[in-house]
Amino acid sequence: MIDLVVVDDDLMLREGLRGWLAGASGMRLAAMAGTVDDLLAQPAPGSGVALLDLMLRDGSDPATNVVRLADAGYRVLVISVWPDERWAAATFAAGAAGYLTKDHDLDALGAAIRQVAAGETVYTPELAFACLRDERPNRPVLSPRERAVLVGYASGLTLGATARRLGIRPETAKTYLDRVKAKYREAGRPTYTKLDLANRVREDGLPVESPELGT
Amino acid sequence: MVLLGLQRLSYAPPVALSLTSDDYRRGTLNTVLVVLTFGWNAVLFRQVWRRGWFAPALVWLDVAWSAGLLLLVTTNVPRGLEHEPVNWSERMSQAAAALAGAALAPVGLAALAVAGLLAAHTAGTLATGGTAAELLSCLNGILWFAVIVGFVLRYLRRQGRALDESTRLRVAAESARAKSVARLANYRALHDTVLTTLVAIARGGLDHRTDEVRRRCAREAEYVRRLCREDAEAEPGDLGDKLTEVIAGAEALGLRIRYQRDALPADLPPEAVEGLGEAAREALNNVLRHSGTDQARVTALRTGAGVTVSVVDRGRGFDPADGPTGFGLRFSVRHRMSEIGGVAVVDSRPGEGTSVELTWPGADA
Repeated sequence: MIDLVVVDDDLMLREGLRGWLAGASGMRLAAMAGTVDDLLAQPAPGSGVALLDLMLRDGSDPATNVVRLADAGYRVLVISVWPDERWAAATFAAGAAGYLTKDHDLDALGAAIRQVAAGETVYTPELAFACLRDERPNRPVLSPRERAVLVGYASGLTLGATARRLGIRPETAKTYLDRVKAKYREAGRPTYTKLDLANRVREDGLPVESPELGT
Repeated sequence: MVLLGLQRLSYAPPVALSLTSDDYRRGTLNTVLVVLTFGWNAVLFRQVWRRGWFAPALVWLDVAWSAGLLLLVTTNVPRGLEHEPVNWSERMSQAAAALAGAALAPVGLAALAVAGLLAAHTAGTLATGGTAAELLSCLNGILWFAVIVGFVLRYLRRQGRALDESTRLRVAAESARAKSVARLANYRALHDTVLTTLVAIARGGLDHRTDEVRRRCAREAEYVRRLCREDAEAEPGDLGDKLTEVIAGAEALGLRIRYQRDALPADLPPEAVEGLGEAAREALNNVLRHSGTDQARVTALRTGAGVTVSVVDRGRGFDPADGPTGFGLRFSVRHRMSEIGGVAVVDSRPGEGTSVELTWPGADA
């Protein structure tokens, strides 16, 4: 049974999830809150999968939210109403296990949650695109092959089709994606260590306040 | 530049012929000067060919060289022949004056160079004891060459700048108009889609959980999402506008499209924008007709100086070896792309979906 906690300030989305999870097998809703502070103040399992809305209305830093949830014991899946490449890349570097836009149907969300619970990374075209477009000063340096796999995957090709077009095996293409992830974690480590968070230097160079039209 | 080159070229035969003349006091000196002058001009025009225009330093060198020629050749010509064709240095100094008038800015510097030539000529003539009338006619020649060429060139440049400016203003006005048209079209589309749907649900009586209503909501959500993104991103440029229009058209036919784009170059030529956009439209039409899915992705990425737009679905795909299925798609899309100097790669396998990759390599490629 997968324990799921949800941090999202959209009441309608939370109620929708509650309804859907009541009928879903293999996972249960352990806690829900509008901010990471509120969630961590509640009695919660301290393990399982956390669904985290990318842009919370309290203006908190998405990458910091990821780290706080991960430190509390959760594997974090970031969800967002519309893809914001810059922050998607920052949350990936901060340790998020995946990035999903909310327009995917609930079955796709369920599959992603199971993947994350199993310790896998959810690579979506949006995440691949975010890595391609990453312009943060502390982004990792990607090899041409890694970029080529990202380009294929970001444009919506299956991993198999991406591999075939590059003349490599699907497992090799997956290895490239995993290498991208490793590079992101490596680049994010100095910035997103536990102790540093309170006085963290804002290396991402990104504005924290949520955009007007954000979620 | 071509004119200045032709002027020099027209002086070449008499200069070359001077090699056959035995009128000079020292024939060897004349031969050396002629060879050096030809060599210098070769170097000069090679540089110009590479850089597209005359570098000031080269112009000054040319002026200095011509001034030197004025002194050397004039004193090398026997008495009484200073103003005959055998004194070819006068031709070269006229060419140098024309060049200075054309290529030196501001006018003061050009005047300085021309004054130098005049002084050299005066010195040469005085050294050989020429008459004042002969001197004046030659000085006149050098001076007016510089003035006329300089004036004509500056006039043409000013006209060119004025034309560029008016073109820029016209383009800006057109793009402002296009933007307000696009905004109106968006309001109309919002009214016909999102507003209508929301009102229908709010009024009650409509079961919003049916598949049909949900599909419609998902499609319209994609539209609003794209509007938000386009608004938050930097200028979409002409290609961004074109793709948005093409995608809206395909959505109206029932396709659900996820669209991602890079910051696209703003200065794509109109035919490239049109070619990429219409080829993408063809590819989306093909998704509608053959893929068996109602979802597709459109991705626009910068690739070096160019742009790649890909249209990808995860539908039923086809076997490229089978021919007919993919033929129409490949033919129409490839044709459009080859018209603008780009390429289209159509890739598909049964069960793997289809991808159409449209690449425009950039204006310089």
